[in-house]
Amino acid sequence: MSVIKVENLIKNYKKSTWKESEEDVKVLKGISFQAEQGEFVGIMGKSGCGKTTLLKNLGMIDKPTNGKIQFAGEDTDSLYGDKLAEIRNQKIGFVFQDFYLMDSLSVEENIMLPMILKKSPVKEMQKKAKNLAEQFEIGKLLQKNPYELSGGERQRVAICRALINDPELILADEPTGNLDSHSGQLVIDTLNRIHMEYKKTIIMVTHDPKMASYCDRILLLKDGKILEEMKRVKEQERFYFRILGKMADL
Amino acid sequence: MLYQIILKNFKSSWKNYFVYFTGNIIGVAEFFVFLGLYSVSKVIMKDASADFGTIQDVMFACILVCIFSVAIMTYSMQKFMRLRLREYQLFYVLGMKRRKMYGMILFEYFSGCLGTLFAGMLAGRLMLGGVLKAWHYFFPEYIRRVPITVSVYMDTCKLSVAVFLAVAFSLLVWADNHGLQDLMNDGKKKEKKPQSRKWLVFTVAGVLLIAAGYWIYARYSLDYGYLYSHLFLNFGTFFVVLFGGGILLEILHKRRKFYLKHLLGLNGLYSRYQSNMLFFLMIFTVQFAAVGYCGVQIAEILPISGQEKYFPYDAVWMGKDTGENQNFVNQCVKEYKGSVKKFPMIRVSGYSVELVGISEKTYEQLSGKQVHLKNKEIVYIQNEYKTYNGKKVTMGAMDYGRKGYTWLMPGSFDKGKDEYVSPESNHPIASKDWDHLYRMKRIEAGNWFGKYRIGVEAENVVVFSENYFNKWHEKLKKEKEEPDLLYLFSFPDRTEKQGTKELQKYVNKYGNQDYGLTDEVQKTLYVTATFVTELEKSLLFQLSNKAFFFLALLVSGNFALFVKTASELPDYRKRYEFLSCMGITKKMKKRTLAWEVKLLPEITAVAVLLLSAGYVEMEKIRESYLGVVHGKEVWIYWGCLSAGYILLTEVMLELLKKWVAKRVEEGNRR
Repeated sequence: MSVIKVENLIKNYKKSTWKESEEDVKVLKGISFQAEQGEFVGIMGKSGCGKTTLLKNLGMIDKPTNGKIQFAGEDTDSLYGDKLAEIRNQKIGFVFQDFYLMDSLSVEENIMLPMILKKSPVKEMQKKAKNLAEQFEIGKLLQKNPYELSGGERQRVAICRALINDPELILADEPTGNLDSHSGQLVIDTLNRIHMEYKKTIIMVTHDPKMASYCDRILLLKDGKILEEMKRVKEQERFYFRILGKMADL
Repeated sequence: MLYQIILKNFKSSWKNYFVYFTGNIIGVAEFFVFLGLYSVSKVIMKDASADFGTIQDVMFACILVCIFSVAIMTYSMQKFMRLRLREYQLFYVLGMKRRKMYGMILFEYFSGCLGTLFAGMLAGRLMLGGVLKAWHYFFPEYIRRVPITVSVYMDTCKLSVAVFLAVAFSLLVWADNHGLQDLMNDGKKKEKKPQSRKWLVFTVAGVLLIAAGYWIYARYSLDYGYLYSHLFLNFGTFFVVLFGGGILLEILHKRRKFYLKHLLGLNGLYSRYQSNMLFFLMIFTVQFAAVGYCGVQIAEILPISGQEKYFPYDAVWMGKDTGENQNFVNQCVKEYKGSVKKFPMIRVSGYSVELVGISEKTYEQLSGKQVHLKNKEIVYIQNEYKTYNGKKVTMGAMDYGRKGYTWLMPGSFDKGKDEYVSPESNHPIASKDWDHLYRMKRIEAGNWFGKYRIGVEAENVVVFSENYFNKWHEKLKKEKEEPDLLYLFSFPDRTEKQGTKELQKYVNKYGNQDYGLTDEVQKTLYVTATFVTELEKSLLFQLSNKAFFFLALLVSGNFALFVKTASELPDYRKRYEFLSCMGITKKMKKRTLAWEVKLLPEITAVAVLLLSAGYVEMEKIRESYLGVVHGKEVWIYWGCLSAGYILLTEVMLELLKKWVAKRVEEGNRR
């Protein structure tokens, strides 16, 4: 069963506020794909090819100019207001490149934030936050503030936050982009674990072929279109070299 | 090329700086207006008695507004400097020398300051000109046209430049000591707050300061009591909120259910505690000055109309007990169907004033009370129209006396008394001149004849013992220009105008010619209707002064709220964009935003209302010591004014909230 299905997705950014014109920036030019339950999908491409725009549209942060996105069988065009907020809150988890943690809140409060917005019972929030933090080895940091943590720790906090409402889909926008190789490895291991153990659907935008090699499938984007789809059929290392080989075409 | 890039960068960020420069312009304009008002007020008051109160008001408002202006300018310009320092980070990282970077920032800063100084002075000049013109138009009796002197421009420049230099110097020193990296992280780290119970000591100290402030205010018990009391009240409240607030937030933090429910709304208070408290102090000072100080003063003046009810007679004449005068008075009363009461009196000279002396017997007739005075014992009656007769006075009239004695001299003021009476003479009247020191057996407020002089002790009543009064009455009676009989006239409404007109005509022709105090003839006849018209106009003038200060403070307070909110807008946008991703509902977003924008100003408003309510009561007590009895209406007028102020501030906050919500929504595409 597909968690998300995209059909002929077009996204243009208008140059003029009022009318469409030929000068509009065409970012996505008819993208179609679907992500199945439990699948780890990677999106790769050069800067400016539309990766983040695609992710924003998938996360219903941005609205497509044309085309259709179905989330869990429901057309996202018909979602707005509180229903949309509810889906973002409970069915989608976001992980951003620059973490987006609120420095004024403690780590625990940051992890609980989606549940706070859902008005969940306090004890349940605390229990879940503690469990997740311990699973991802940040249990001792719960009472600290984000600015006291390293990059890798921060991103793991963001991943815990993305998981706390047990969402169906996790959207990660270059989650290792701001991290050194060691921290990046920690984070990708964490995402991989979520994929393997929790069977979550993950869509991850990345530049890094090594990180991409953890995915089940890669969509290679070029100039707003899918250039090629690559599936991992054998072990990770061979998939990594295949991706490296394709990088020259991008 | 580098300069072109910097200029381009400055131009592209101009919108972000606009609000700070506006803050600076408002600050300079307020300096100009209030320094100008203070300087002009000293010159333009025609009536010396009106002078003192108005100048004191202007001075007080001037100090407050200047403190506020310094705060808003400091707040605005340090925000601007921090923004620029952050933007210069890139150039610094790319190899620009630190000295050059600081030089560039200072050049931009001082260019901006210079521009805002000129713009602020121009705005201030226009505002001051407008206010003076309006006052002169409506109150030509009190305000005459006076040019705005160069000193006002100079003082505004000096004060503004001092603020500019202080902000630049302190920030550069701070940046040098802390390193520029701290600036980049600025606003991200949680600011410390007092959360341990040991800080309760300072909360209690704050409460004690407030209590001391109230006590000093009500009792006038220090030389600079008025100033100290206001400082104590402001800083006491600041201590209570700063330390008590930190402890309270910590208690709330431990109540997880409540805290987590309101986490996003309270977040701003928790994370930027010190900045918020400084902002609280700034807004609180302004709002307390408006709601407390101005509010109470306005409430005491209101209502302006209907003053005649405080005057028991239609006319009061201090004349001679001669056959001609008696004939005229009897005929006048008969013709205009009025009545007259007559009491023997003498003129008494006090410290720069002339008073009315009566005998013990007259006092007994008026009050129904016996006083049993001996020799140079007196009862001093301070005229007050908002009082009940016989109200004990414990402050005010004692000011010119020492240990229960006051200096007096029977008879009208004449040149011979100059050496005693002139304030410049420095004559040790109160302690050594035993010939003219009288023991005040009692001081009380009274309104036996009406209060016809405002703001001075003139025409207050002195009750002498029967023998002492008779001795001087007999002696002074022989003097041609000394009045010896007090005529108190009442007329029916329909004949009052004619009757008093006739009386005025007679007094002008045959009345006493008393030139003692000034070169003009002193008044011996007071016509209530004429005086009430002047009084109401004077009250209207005072009201317009206070209303202007009230409005200036209201605008200043609300502008500060705008500057603060506008400076936080980028943070709001970023935060709510992120919270949208986290799935915040519209309703929750609206509610949280309302908490964030309104919480601190509303805490301030509650603190202001509570402190000002106490201030109203203390003012009533203080006035009561002075013999003035205010009724419930002071509370009603003050309540209406405060409600109006709070309502307008609430409207402003609602508008700010809507504006922020709109700007935040612009960032969200869906």
